[in-house]
Amino acid sequence: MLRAVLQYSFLQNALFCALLISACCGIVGTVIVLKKQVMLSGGIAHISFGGIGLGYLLGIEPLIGAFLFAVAAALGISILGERSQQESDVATGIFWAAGMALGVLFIALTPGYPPDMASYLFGDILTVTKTDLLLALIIDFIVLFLVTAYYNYLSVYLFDAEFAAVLKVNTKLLAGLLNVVAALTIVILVRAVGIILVMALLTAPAAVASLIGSSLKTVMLAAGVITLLSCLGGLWLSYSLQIPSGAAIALFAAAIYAGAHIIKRLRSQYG
Amino acid sequence: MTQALELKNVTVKYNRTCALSAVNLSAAENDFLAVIGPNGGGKSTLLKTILGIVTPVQGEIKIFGKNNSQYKEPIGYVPQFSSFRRAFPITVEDVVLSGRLKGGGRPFRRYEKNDYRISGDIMDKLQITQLRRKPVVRLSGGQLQKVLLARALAAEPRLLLLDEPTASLDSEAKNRIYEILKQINQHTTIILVTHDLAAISSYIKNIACLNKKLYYHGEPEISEDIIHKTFGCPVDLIAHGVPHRVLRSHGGDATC
Ligand SMILES: Nc1ncnc2c1ncn2[C@@H]1O[C@H](COP(=O)(O)OP(=O)(O)OP(=O)(O)O)[C@@H](O)[C@H]1O
Ligand SMILES: [Mg+2]
Repeated sequence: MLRAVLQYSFLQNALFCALLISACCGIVGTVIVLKKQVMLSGGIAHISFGGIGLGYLLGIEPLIGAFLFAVAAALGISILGERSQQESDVATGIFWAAGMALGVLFIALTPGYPPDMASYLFGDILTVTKTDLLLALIIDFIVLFLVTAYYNYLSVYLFDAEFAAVLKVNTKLLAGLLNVVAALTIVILVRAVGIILVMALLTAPAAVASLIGSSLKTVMLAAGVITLLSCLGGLWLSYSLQIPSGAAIALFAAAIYAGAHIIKRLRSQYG
Repeated sequence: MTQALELKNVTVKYNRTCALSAVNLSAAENDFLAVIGPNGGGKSTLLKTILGIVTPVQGEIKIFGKNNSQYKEPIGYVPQFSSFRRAFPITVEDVVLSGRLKGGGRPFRRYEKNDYRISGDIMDKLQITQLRRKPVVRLSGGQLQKVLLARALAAEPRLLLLDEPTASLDSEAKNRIYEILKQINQHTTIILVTHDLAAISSYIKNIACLNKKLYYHGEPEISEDIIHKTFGCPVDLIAHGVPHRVLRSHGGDATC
């Protein structure tokens, strides 16, 4: 496989992409898992499908449409979330379905031969372009900057939002910002592993990492490393068994999760 | 002289439930005010309203002469029911240090020597230094309570609000905390919600009886009659030192 990597630029791109998405995915996945916003991130991923459809209909880059839809949804959901958890949960479900439906509708309305949607549903890290890599790099930069600049505030907010408010931290702004950053990350992940498989990369590495880490920093770092391992392992599986890369990556992540929990069980039983 | 705390005609409602009705209350600088009242009497609501977590439908709240939304200095707060994520990856020391943060969100705010020194001193005083590196998931209820108190004290606030901070502590720890409170009371205004008036009666300077309405505010020598009005049942609070733990919620005559 190493020879092939040196030979083919699409494989090099795929590896770069894996590296880049690991950074933002580790951080955002940790926030999502700790805040118990798995449902919300699933909603955002599916809403982005509406944007992809709109992109095709209007003849603009589908990923741009996906970004717009995802960010708008993230903001909408965080405003609703201020009112009540239940309300935002229901709204997420409705956005989720409506986003997918809009995507299907827009694509049906697009004149000419329908585009192949499979790569958005199941992702294809082997076809990422230089533009995709640049977008991933920009998103990494935003996420890393925010996390390093506001690490202590982020940590206290995620640990105890009420106390953060008592300290006069602007928790509404922070919540909105986190949702927007999550939306950006999710769209880039959609490109790599697809809408249906996004959840695997957002949740499994962070969940495993939180078994290991003793501070927010270490959990984020470990989640990033586990994401990278999943991507590399998945790519290797995909290459050697000739199976679709998105599915291989998601399965690899799920296997790491299962493995970690089995080890945890065994250790608490016999350790 | 400006008061440390001043509430004028404060009314708080949750949807339809009226939690506080036209409460007027003030505390001088370095006061030690105990707030007592039955379950559901609005004690926690009072503290949350002062902090700005709950917004009143009517009335104004001043902290050291400033409107409470304008007051940007830290206020120490130990909640009755903690709102934090128990399974969060954070150590005791980092929780205490977080009390040193201030709003405004200065980017790249790192904890400095001074922050470590102050939190270290407080952990020493509360005797939780040996727990420093422990993740909060692995603390007992009482240890956790001390950590939350340490976090509140780490801010070195001029105003400290405590909502039953000693509820799950053993009597030795309780007494130690009261001694610490007495000490910081020399330069800190303390408002303490408690059901355990007997234990604290020698430390406090004033008392407030709250059951939607404020029934009494003044020196900690209250008549049977006031207790009866506040709780809706006679409670021998101070004489026998047996606090009335299971207090019947009393609707009172208060209306919003
Ligand atoms: N978040 C809320 N939503 C709706 N009603 C609430 C809420 N919090 C408190 N209440 C109501 O407001 C009233 C006052 O509650 P509060 O928690 O202030 O009482 P308390 O004096 O602290 O009681 P306790 O001694 O049990 O702690 C109660 O009738 C309660 O039902
Ligand atoms: Mg209470």
